[in-house]
Amino acid sequence: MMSESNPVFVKIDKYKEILSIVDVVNKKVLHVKQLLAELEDFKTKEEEEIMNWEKSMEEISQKIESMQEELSQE
Amino acid sequence: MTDKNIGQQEFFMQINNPNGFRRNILEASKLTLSILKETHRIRRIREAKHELIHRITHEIKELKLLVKKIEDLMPVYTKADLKKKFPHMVPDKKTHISMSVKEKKSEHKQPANKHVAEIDKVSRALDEVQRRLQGL
Repeated sequence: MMSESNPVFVKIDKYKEILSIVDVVNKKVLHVKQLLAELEDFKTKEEEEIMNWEKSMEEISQKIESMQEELSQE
Repeated sequence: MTDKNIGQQEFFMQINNPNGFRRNILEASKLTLSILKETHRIRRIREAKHELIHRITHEIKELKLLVKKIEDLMPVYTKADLKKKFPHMVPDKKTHISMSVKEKKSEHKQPANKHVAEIDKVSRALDEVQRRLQGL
């Protein structure tokens, strides 16, 4: 098999094909990076919504608590 | 009505701050409704997220295929390996562009190394993308 330290020679047609594939791959990598950034945005939004949930739940429990206190007063 | 029921109705609990109590009930209902609204928003976000993950997975599969294709296009044997394997064979001179040996080296060596570097770069980028995707 090929030893890594030695140079290799690529046929010119294959070389051109490799170049075009590398170009496509680079564009795709960029696209995937953009999609990942979008995904990150969604993740942040989701986390924010869950934080809002927690905050609202906390407020509800405080209100219920104060109502319970009100009800248990003699 | 039985005597027992009448007896029960005679007891009342005093609520000192009825307005505050009502306000608390209303605010708690409002918060509950806002949570329901948020639930719908989260559901929509998750649907969009899943769709995006599906697209990313598809793109990564395509990238894998492309990287594999580049690997396939790269020669399996080096010139030295070929010389060792087939010592009696002389390389076909017609395929070489007439240049001095030094020029040939500089012309051919660079693209090959450049490709290896590009492939490494792309492979590393791909690994990073996959790692980030798994982290989500």
